[in-house]
Amino acid sequence: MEQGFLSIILHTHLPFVRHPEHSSFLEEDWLFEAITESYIPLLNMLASLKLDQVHCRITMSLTPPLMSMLKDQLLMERYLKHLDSLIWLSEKEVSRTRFEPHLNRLALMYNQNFSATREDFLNKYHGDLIGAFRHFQEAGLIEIMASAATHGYLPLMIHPEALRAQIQIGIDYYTHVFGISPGGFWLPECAYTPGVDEYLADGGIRYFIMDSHGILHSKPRPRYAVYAPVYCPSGVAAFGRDWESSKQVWSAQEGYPGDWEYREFYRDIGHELDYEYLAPHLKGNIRHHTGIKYYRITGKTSAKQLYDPARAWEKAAIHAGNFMFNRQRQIEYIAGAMPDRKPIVVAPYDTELFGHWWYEGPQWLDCLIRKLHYDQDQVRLITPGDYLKMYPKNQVCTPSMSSWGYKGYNEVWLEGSNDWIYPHLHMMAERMTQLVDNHWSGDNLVTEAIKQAARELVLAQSSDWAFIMKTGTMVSYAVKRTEDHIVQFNRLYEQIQRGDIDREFLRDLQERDNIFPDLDPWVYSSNYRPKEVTLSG
Amino acid sequence: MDTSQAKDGCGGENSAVGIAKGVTEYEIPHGYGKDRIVALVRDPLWLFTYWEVTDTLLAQRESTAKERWPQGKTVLRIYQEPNKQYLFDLPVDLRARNWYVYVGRKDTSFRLALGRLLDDGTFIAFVESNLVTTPPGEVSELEDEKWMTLEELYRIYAGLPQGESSPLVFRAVNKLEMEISSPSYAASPMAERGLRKPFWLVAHTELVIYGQTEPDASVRIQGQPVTLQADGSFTARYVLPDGRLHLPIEAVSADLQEMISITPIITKTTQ
Repeated sequence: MEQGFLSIILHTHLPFVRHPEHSSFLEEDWLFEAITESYIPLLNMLASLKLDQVHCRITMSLTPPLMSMLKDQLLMERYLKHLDSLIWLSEKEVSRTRFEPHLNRLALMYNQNFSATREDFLNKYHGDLIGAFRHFQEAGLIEIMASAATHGYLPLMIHPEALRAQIQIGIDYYTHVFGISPGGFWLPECAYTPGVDEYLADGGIRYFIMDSHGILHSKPRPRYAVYAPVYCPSGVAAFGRDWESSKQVWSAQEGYPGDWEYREFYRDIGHELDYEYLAPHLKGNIRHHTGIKYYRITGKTSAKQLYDPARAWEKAAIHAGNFMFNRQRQIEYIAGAMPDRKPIVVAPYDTELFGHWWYEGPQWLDCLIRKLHYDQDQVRLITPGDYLKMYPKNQVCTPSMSSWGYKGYNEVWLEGSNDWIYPHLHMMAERMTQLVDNHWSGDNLVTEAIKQAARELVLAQSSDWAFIMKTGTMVSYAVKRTEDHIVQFNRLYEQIQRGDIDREFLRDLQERDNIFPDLDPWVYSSNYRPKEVTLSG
Repeated sequence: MDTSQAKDGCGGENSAVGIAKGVTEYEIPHGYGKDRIVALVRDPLWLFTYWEVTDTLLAQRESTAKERWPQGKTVLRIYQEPNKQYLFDLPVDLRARNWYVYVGRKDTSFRLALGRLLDDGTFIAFVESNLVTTPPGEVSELEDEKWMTLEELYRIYAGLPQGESSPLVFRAVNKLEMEISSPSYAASPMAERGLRKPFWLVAHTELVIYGQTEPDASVRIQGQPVTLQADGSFTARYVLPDGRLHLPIEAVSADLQEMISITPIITKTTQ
């Protein structure tokens, strides 16, 4: 019989990047790489766990921008082109490395992986990865959480309507895609501020995840620290991240992904081989990652050694064993101090960590889930939703404002590089409510324009742009995206105000920024009242 | 998310992301012509504020102050709420349009006002902000009688040995660094492990074999078939290891009646 529970949470998000106005666009590779390196390996892992009847309860978020892109025909066609180019490049690599056996084995590995990915994408998942995730939710291997409309950073929104809209649009989109109401809600960047839970409650949400200090600094002091949820005053449960299990995986210094046997992310042939040889595979005529990487981390040196997959996978198995051992000891201690219930250890990660950043991450996860199933019975995988069913009675506390960003609060998204966006985002939010309050009518063209204005607003609100501005790579893209959405919104606003809507301009925007085709702008109205929601379970 | 790919550049054929037709002449507005000041919480000790004050409002306020106006200065006034209790003034330049304010008080509500402080102490407010509340930043001292704290759990969380007294336990929890911020993975020291040296050189040697034959012939290099272009030309490139390499190149005519072989022998050494 288990002594406690482990809840692994995979937050799955990418910003909405779709540029039909260009024949190819480098930033679309974010999606393509994540599909090849993280999403398909994860789906394959779930398929094999299911086949082997291994107990698996993973919680995932899938954000609306990501789901919209995975359902977008243009992007999925481009993904196949992208894969074909990689298959061709890897064939060239197999030939080029013929007289270097070690390199040649690696080139063959990539060639086989890319071909297998293509096969899986087309014939196993029929180009419908969201359908595949839905299947595993229905089969009970995963529980999918909803998330905000576009990963908006909620604590820095000052207009209740805008805050509510980010939440409600996300919930409605989830319901539309999965045909059921979501139980959990992933707060973008784990960013919470008191009151956010009210809107979650209005949308029928049962729980969300916070960083540790968000729970630990709750008022009153939580009885079980982070090892059990608390109920916010609104009745929505908040689960706190476990610091120890996070650090083992996340920490760049001490975490598993930094092991010297693992593949080196930053040595990619896209930056190393002859330019002309690579040219047919590069987008925008600049060098960029291709996904083909031949070296292992090796150590604190630039003289990298060739990657050895067998040794790396062995390491992943060892690390899975180590992680499990640590959770067993941790839960043993915690359970000893918790007389009246079993603890839950909540470990959230970005899905793209597994496979994209940490190449061996999917093996590690697969190994961990299997070991938990076969080798022990102290720790059991569970979702927060399962835990709430088991323990519906919880302490009521008000959690603290917090995020999982550097320093734990809002600074990553509010500092010198990105603070200029807020006067615009706030004005847009205010204007959005004005539009709905003053111009909402039966007129079709006006309705379309108001809907598009809402799309421009939510796209501008993605926390990704502020984050990129802060981290300093690809900054001009993030700035341009923010500026474009600001300009486009304000232009629509002025046209609607004047009663002079430029149809061609509107159509162009609808074609490009085509997220949320069914968006209902009424959620921005100052007269909006939440629907009656019946909580189940 | 992967932001590591290209240094600060956009993809596509153009380096800029095109916006919809006819928009290019628009720029993001410098201001919106609306008088406002907005406060945001950065962390338990700091606020951020931005403002816009129109000339109309300024002129109107100036007229109320009359000749005392020039002797005054523009300040941010920080109030604690509830009851709008005055805390301090911070001289600012109106044109700065935003400011980071150290308030130094956790778990406290604030309201800011931007205005003119005259030499006789009169404060003429231009705009007042929304209400903001800093987070507690530490474990609460408030105990829930029905849910008495299990201190042992906090001790385990902080990794302290058994028997630590409770003030120490909570202090240790408060001090735990929040260094495992997840999204900064891309910007972590992992990123710096690559080639960041003052001066460096990387050189690789590849061997390129190219040639031409009849377009319908077949060509093999060391036994491996090579693809011919429509004009019968071919190119093959190889990583060239140190040592001696025999590379027989064989062309066989379409009717299999003729064969030509050329064998370059390459020796590579690296010094």
